[in-house]
Amino acid sequence: MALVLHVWPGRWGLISIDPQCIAAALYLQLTVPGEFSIAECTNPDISPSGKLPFVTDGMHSVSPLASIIKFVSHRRLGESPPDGGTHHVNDLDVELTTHERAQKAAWCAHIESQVGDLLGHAMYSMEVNWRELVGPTLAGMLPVPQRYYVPARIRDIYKPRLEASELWDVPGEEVEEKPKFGEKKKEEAKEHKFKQVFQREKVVEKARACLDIYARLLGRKRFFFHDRPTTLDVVLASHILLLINPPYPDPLLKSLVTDSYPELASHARSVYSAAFPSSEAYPALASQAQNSFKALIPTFRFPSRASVHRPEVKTDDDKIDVWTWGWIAMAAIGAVGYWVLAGPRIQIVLVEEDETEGLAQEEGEEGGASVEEEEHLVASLDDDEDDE
Amino acid sequence: MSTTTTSFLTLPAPLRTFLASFPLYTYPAIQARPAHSKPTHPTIWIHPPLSDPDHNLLSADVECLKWQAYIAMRDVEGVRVRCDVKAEGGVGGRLPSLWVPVALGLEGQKEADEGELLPAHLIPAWVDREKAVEKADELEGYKDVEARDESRAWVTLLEGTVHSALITFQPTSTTARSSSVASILTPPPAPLTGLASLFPPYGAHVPSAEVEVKYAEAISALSERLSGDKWFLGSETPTPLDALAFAYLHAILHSSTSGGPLRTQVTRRVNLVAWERRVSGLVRAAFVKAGDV
Repeated sequence: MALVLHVWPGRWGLISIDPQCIAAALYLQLTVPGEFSIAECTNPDISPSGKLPFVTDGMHSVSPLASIIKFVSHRRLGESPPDGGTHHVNDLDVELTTHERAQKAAWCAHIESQVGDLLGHAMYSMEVNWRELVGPTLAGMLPVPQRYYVPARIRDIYKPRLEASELWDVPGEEVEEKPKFGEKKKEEAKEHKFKQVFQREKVVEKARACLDIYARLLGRKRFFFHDRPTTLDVVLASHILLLINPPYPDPLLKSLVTDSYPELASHARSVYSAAFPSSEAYPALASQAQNSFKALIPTFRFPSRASVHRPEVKTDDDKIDVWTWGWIAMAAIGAVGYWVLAGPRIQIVLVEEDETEGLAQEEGEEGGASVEEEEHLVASLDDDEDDE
Repeated sequence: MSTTTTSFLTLPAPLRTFLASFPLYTYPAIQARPAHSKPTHPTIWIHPPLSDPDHNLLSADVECLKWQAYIAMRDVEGVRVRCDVKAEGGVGGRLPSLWVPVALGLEGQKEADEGELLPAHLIPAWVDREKAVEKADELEGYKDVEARDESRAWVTLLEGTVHSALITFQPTSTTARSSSVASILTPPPAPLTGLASLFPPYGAHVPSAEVEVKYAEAISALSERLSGDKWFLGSETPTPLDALAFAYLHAILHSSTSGGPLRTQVTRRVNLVAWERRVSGLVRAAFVKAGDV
């Protein structure tokens, strides 16, 4: 199959450990089932955007998720049939009205931001979850030597975002450690304990404010719009599944979702089972050889506009680009032609040693006029050639 | 009773003669200008506008403009504007800040006739006091709970997608200088040197083409959602979402980089341009330059 989706490997009963990768896999499975394969990738640097997921269609690469969705939605599948050629509509949102599409765009941005922050907090900020589950899981996927430094780097890129959302450095559940023999048990200040509890309550309050909105929006419906999953269902499900499936040592948010928002958990599982009814329904696994030592060299890939699918509205800009490239090509050809036809001629004259000695003697006698004579000689040669 | 001190150490005569060439003068203390001490009208400190600060009182910074729009849309008038204060002079090292002649009294320690400099997040409380609002509206001005919930999504779209496009394609703007792309983009960008390379992580690999595509989608959605309504989400009166939308649209339409991809997307939507123009007049009318009568 030409279409290959590159994602982080799967764990915890899911096809991937990254919400964007899960969303991409769900979208492709719901729109083009059987037309793509999955490649487990642990080197995000080969992606055009530097992050997973990305899709390859022959020599063409597309990333990240929004571009993948647009690319798949407009991709023409299969050969033209005898009856004149029809192409499949690979758009999950084809039945949405313009008004609903506008709302979908806003809701997807809200999920990626707010629910994404909650997920980032659960996976990367909570120390015990990172130390005992997420960090070792990432390290187990990565080859040597990346497993020793890439997980920490992945955690570090979430820190500025989570700090801005006040979801970083929140203490996890304190497990009372048995003091070692001879050591006194450390008495924790009451103020410190109070602060820890207060910060955890803030996280829960922030999560409730966010999840209440989606519980009200979903209501008793099976999906958000109409009776089939749309991009909004896919994006929310991919985040909720990663909140409820992994066996977090500190299940603060997992417990909140499963106990207080069972409808959201049920919706997420419903969307996942609609795409993958069982593990046998997973798409074919494409083999991909990855050289861990080659990945040590940075690629410094500059984002290419051709690697991102653009909406079809920009016809005027395409014409301008054609004219611009045409002008640049004409200028280059003109410059080269001018140098070939009428440019200055530079000749390298090779003089033998005997002649140079003779010339040196003559120069000594004539007082340095030989350089001008040589130039005159070269120039006269040029004139002769021009006359011919 | 005067006290004199004498020292057993004396300055040598040659040194005294040399130092006499550099006499010490004491200048009188500089008196603070009375115009800026304890103003009698509420005064908002903002980042300066892009051009003509004497007549254009709308800030070039989205954060400051958002609060200006909020104050104007709550029908508060006569607020003075100062553009000569640096960000470090504001509360918490940030602008905007609002000077009020009568303290808000939240801490209960200030006297009633003392002024107070408020941070941005206390502006709604001050406006509620000015408008004698006793009980906060649970719907925040929206027509129903669904609209209020939906407003959260639109606020995130503006502060996330549109804001990241603003700081990516207008890096020299006032807004971009006070924002970090790593804390705005979601999911956060990978380092420029890559995650797996041996080089230490440096910079941020911002997928600018992706940011532009999402921005175009966001502006299209915004235009579709506004349609022909007077205020967003069909509200009867302006809401905080309208203030935020106006701030971003005004900053994009009046940016220093004319004809950029951001501005082009907005100018294609006639209803957004017309809406911004109408609201702009409303917001300008609420402010007066500090020092003017």
